[in-house]
Amino acid sequence: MAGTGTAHLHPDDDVVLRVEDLVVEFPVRGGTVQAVSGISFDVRRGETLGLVGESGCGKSTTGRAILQLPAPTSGSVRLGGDELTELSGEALRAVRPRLQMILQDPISSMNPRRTVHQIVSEGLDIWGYDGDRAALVAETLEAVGLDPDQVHGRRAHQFSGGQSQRICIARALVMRPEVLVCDEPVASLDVSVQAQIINLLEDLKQQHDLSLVFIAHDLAVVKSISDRIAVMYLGKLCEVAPSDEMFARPAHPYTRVLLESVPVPDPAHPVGRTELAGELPSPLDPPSGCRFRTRCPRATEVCAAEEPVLTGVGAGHFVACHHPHTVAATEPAELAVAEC
Amino acid sequence: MAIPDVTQESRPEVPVLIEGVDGPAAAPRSMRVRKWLSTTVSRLGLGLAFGWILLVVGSAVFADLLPLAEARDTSAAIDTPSLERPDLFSAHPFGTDRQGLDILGGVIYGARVSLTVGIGAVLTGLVVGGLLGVLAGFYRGRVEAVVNFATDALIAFPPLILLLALVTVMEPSVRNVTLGLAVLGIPTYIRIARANTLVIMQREFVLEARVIGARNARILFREIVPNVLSSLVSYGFVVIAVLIVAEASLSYLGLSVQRPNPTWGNMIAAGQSSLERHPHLVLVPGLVLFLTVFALNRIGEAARSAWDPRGRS
Amino acid sequence: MLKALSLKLLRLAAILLLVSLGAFFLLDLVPGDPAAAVLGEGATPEQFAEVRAELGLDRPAMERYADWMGGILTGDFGRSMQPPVQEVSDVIAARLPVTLEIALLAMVMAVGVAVPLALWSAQRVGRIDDGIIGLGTSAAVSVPSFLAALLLIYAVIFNTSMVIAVLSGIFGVVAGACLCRAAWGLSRERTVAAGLPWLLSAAAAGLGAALVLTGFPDFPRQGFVRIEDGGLSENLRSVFLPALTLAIVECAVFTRILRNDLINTLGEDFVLFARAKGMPTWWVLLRHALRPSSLSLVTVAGVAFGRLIGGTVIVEVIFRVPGMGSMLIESIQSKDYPIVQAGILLIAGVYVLMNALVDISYTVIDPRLRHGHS
Repeated sequence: MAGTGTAHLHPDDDVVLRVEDLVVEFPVRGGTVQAVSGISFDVRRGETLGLVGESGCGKSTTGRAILQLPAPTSGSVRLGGDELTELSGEALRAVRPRLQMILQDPISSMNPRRTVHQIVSEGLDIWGYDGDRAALVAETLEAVGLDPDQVHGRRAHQFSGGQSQRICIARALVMRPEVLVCDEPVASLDVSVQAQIINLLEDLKQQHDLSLVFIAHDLAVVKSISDRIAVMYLGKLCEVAPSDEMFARPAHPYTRVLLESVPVPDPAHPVGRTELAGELPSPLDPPSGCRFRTRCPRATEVCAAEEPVLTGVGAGHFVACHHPHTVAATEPAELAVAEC
Repeated sequence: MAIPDVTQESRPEVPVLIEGVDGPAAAPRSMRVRKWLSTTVSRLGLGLAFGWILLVVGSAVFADLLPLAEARDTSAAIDTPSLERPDLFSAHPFGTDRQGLDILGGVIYGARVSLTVGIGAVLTGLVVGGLLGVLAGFYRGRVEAVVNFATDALIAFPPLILLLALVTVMEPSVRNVTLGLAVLGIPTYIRIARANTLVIMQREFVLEARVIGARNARILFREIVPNVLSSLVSYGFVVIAVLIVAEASLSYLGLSVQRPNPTWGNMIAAGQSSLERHPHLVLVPGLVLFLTVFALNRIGEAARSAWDPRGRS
Repeated sequence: MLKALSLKLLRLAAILLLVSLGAFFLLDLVPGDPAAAVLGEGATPEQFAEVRAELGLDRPAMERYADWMGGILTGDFGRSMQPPVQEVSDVIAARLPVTLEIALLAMVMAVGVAVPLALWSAQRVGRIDDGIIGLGTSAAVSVPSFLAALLLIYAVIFNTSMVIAVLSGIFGVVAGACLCRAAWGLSRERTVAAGLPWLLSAAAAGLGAALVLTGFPDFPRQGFVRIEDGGLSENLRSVFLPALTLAIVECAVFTRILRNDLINTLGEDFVLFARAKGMPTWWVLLRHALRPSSLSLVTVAGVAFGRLIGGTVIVEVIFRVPGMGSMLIESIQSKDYPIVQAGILLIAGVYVLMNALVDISYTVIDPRLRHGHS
């Protein structure tokens, strides 16, 4: 996998966020963790890009690198006309409101000693909002489905996970961001609550003309919200495609494995045939060539020697693989889609 | 697929009571009784501890207003009988010492010194050590290395030796002893503050504050300090207790406030030569010292288990 | 791991250097002229010049420090300022073993009592006896060592008969209780094994009572008898009370730490598993719980021993024991700076080394740390 390459990027001006050749490395004892190794993607206005991969593949690191927390080792992150990697200090801080983030653990995301009102209005205080702060906070809380009068003076520990996540969304929303990075926003929530939060995000996206980067390990969750999906493996992109296309015609062997692992609530449904052999290789010492080759059923010599580059296989469908699946539809994946 | 559209928020978790692990034979009823008994006893103990500390603080603050017999001026006590035995219903409830000074009065004025020194040193240590620790944990890198090295160097001296070294070169006044003891408490506070800061920094609300665009100072004082402070304060009681013992030890060695100004330590030192015949000279200030330290330790333990998640066992 | 170790050693060297600088330049912090402090009032200018030269105050600071350090590294600590003038190294050679003996004895007593107490307490968490042990250790921690020493003197020396009565009474009650428990166990299970541990405990307690009643030693109020002068028993008699004073607090600290650790360990799955296999309680405690729990005890005991070398000051003063602590106090009072400097350097040095040793032994004791998963 593992493609580098930028063939899948959009040339048009409608792109809000463009990430090019992003590299994030962490020095640790005994080497360097190559968390993200040269990935590129873009998000158009009003679009939701889903970023999927198993844990440890570098998707959260990518999300944080977009926000320069911490700044990537190299590469470019452009928000509108601003190159974020070249900004620092006050200049970077000035851009922050345009780019907000929601994290996996909503309860840990709220300072236990502060009230909901303080948490939501903090951004307004920092940026010296002139209007009626209390009214704006109340309006935003209402927008995320909370009763402002009730939650206003309460603290983090008095809320359930779903309610907390709503507060975190309100905190981000009040900044009027252009791009919202959602880092596993529903992974720690009950399944029933997941749906509500995803619906809420979808509504808000439409109302506020937001662009979303939606990071998750659960393909099913990503599918329902994303316009396009990018699949990551060990710090590299495998495949980028519009959501339906990805589920209908997965071209990368890894994507197929991921799709097959989505549980289908039907006892008659055949269990996925392909199983991943072995474990995720260490990001300290990733395999040569295609990073997926050590676990790939289709790997040949060329995969070890040469790194595949993202190439188009359909409308907006790009894959980084030497031996992609070219057959139109594949049964297990299609069945999974049908159940959605 | 996996996302059923359910509109009701999940209810918060219902706490599950876990029965004690040991003793499978123990009947639930006897366990409940035991539990009730132990909570009642510990609450009662805590109440007594608070009561005692309030009594000591109150009498130290209002010492000048209390109808006490002369406890500090030997020339004014020249007419009072010396070495009186304690008699709760006399003018000298706890007796008098060799010079006829009132022991009760001495203990109360001694409480002034002990409390001033203990609380003053803890506050100084808390502010200086807490700030250094938070800064070290927040900025990491070089700041942390310097602070850590300074802490290690301070801790390298055994506490009493450090104190002895300090008092070798300083006049033994309340202010200097307070400063010396503050130095003793600083490393502890640095470590607690730094460790707690590192934990808080991992919490996602710090990241969120940055995302919103908060400056370092705002993150430090709004997000981190309030969360670190509670564990610092909860350790404060125990540290006060330790420092009161340290002050008493110094006064006992004659290296703190000097006679005839009474401190618990110098009263005990003055009385030890008559230990066999007149044990009250040692036992009264000793008991007051012990009860105060004991009460502070109990309160400190309770505060730690209530406020500081790391203090829970 | 080798890299980590050398880093630790480097740090240790840096701290030792700092400690030596601190100990040495203490002299320069003395308000006014240290020579005046040494001589007192009414000294002649010649005497002044002489003392200043002796202290090296007429030379640049770094040169003095280099000289001093050089001397110490070759075993020359200088000479004392006050009569009788003698080599500082001789003074220390006479004093250090005394302090070491007291500290060691205190540690042995503290650990010897703390381990069974903690084992007992940990497996009876939340019961009355655990509560009493908890309260007792918490109280013992709250007694300043000088107060503990005076109380011991008051009880053991001035009210010996009362102490004998109380001690033998306690032993008697314990022996009686153990006998009853043994009889109950025997009558219920009718096997010797059921009653044997209790019978043995009863016998031990009875022996204790008998020993207290017949041979309660006559402890001296103060002073120290060297083994060469009075033999081992005289020597032990003279250090028993000072060591006991120190042991009380340490024992309480050790008990609390070991108890908490044991409770954590006893809650772990492998202990539950051992119990499920039907292992007897004492076997589980000793074989499965004690070893993994002793890590922090070793740490704390190591640090405590390092601290005791300097922490015996008060006890040595009260019991008039000629150790390092009383040496330090005497020389501070008589402004004998060379001894103060050497004393502080030595005590702090031992303390630092002890801490470093504990730090390093961590990696050796804990198999998880040894294999580099830190």
